[in-house]
Amino acid sequence: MTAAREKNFISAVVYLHNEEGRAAGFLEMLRKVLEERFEQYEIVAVDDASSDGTAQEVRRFAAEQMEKPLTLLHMSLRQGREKCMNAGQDCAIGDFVYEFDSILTPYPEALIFQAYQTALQGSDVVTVGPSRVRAGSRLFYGVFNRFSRSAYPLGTDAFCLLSRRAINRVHAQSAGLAYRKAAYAASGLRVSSLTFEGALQGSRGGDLDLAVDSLALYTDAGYRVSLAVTGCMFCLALAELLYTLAIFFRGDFVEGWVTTMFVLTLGLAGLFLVLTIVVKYLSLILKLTFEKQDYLVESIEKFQK
Amino acid sequence: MVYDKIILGAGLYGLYAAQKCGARGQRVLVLERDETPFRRATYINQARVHQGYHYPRSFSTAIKSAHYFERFCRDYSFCLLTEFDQVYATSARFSWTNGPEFEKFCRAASIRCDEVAPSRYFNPGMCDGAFLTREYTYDAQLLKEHFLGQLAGFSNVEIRYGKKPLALTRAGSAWKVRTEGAEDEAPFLLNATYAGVNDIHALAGLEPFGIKYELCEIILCTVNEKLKDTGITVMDGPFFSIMPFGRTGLHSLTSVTFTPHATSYDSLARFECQERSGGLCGPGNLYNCNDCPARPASAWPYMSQLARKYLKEEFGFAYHSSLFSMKPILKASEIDDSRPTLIRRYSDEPAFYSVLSGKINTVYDLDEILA
Repeated sequence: MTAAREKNFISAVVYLHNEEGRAAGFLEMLRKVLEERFEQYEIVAVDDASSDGTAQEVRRFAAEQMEKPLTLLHMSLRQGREKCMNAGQDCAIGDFVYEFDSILTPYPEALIFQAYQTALQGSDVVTVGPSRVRAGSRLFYGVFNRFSRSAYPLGTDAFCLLSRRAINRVHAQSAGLAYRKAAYAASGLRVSSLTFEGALQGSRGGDLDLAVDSLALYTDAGYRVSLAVTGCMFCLALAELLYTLAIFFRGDFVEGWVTTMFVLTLGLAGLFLVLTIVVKYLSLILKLTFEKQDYLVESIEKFQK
Repeated sequence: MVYDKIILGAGLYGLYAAQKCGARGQRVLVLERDETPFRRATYINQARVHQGYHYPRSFSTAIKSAHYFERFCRDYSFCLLTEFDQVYATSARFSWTNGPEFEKFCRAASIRCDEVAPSRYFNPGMCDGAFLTREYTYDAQLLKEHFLGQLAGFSNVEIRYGKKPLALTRAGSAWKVRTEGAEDEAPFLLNATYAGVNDIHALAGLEPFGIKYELCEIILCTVNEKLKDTGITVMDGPFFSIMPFGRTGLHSLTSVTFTPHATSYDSLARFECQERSGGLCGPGNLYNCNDCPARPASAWPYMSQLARKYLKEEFGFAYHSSLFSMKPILKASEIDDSRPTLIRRYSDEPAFYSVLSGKINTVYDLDEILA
């Protein structure tokens, strides 16, 4: 056993959905790592309305293996990773909070503590991601980072570590967290990334809606697109003008027809596109402002000794 | 010896009853198993004089509390600390109530509630409402001295310390209480032992109260200038409270999830730590948790962490000491969070009453049975 363990209080939030047979194994690995390195810690397991025996397995694990507190959060109905992790994070009390979006561990265990050491060197957010990324993710993050307002690029990650300061910061910045990782990256605090050899296993992510929301909320992609559209419209209008002028000087035209068509087709199409973007922004603003409870928790169970 | 009344337990309820009856000239015997009075729940709790804020889900308890609050403040003003900002806040997450609901509730119960900006006290996003309220804290040691002073003036009231009942029997129109080296009787017996209520019932062969037990820890903290004149309670769920502890200059820190260390659902409290108490404690024989060699390790790391998560950094507090006590909770009341005074009469002649109340200022409920 390590002589001097870290004094900071650590919370580890773990997302679980139908992980019977696997949950306990992961929790035990996590417990061992935390126990070895930290004096004080807690685990917050978020059960996203599992239909199998996941909750039972966690309860059993808490009763048999845990000396330190374990909180089991039951979601009322399946709400997806983002909302569940937000709920778990709201529950966590640590100075530093680990977020495990998945219990698959394609990374070496040592990286868990390494993330903490990296944080101590002055990073409020530490993400740990694979070296190989799926094409879909690469496309999303490529677009995201291209238009992102933040100083740090976003990437696929297996887990991440946040300081309490970062959590307070993102809560002060917006009412809800539509996409945690983007919010962390945009927090203005220092973000570090650690990489391990390999790829994430299993299928996760792939939520188109979340991707679009994130792009609209945390990047200026919407603005850039509308700007580009305006530019295109302008070019088209210019071309149309030249064409109209050419026809005009050649003298064989039906009066007003060309101009009318120009205004009707191109003008309206452009207007609709811009409106779509505006509407997208508005709906997001509405959602963030008015949806106070953005997840539904069924019950909390606390295990401690 | 023969008395008019025998009272079991020298907590507030016991001594209040002794004082009332003593003033009427009745011969009263108080039996206390600890060496001094007010050593358990009367002393070891948040020291709140409840106005009802704590029970936003139970309206009747709130109104009753508010009513008794005024009276208690009049009668025992000398032991109160009143000059501090008592802030109630509703947690933005995991709370069973929210800011507007809490305000509505206070208005209905006509208790003070002035909104303040949560950002004055809390980290961003933690609380959705904060309110300045009128609530006081009492100093159990000052209250104890008051009662002991009063009772010293009554030659007809006797308090025996270090005496726990060994047997309780009914003999004609009197209850006989046997203690170590003595046997006393009276036609009226009041069981004001709080967590020990079922221990006494078991001795007398009476039906137990439907209670569960929680072994609770109150942490006393030293606080910085900024927090000195402020009490903070975050409701209504798995949260915490840090507020002045009477006039001691310390603050008490408690949390809903970490204050209870262990729970027993048996009618006679059964805890794993009893085996380590060296025979001092056991089911039917609850020892003083605060004096016990088997008292648990402090939950300070967790409670302080929880409080720090909510409170802005400028509100500083540090560990001073821990107090442990056993808290009985009526099972039926778990759902609506109400904790009314429970007074049950078990027999008429001779009279046997048991009282159980979780709050200090509902002590007046005793008046009706002390005629």
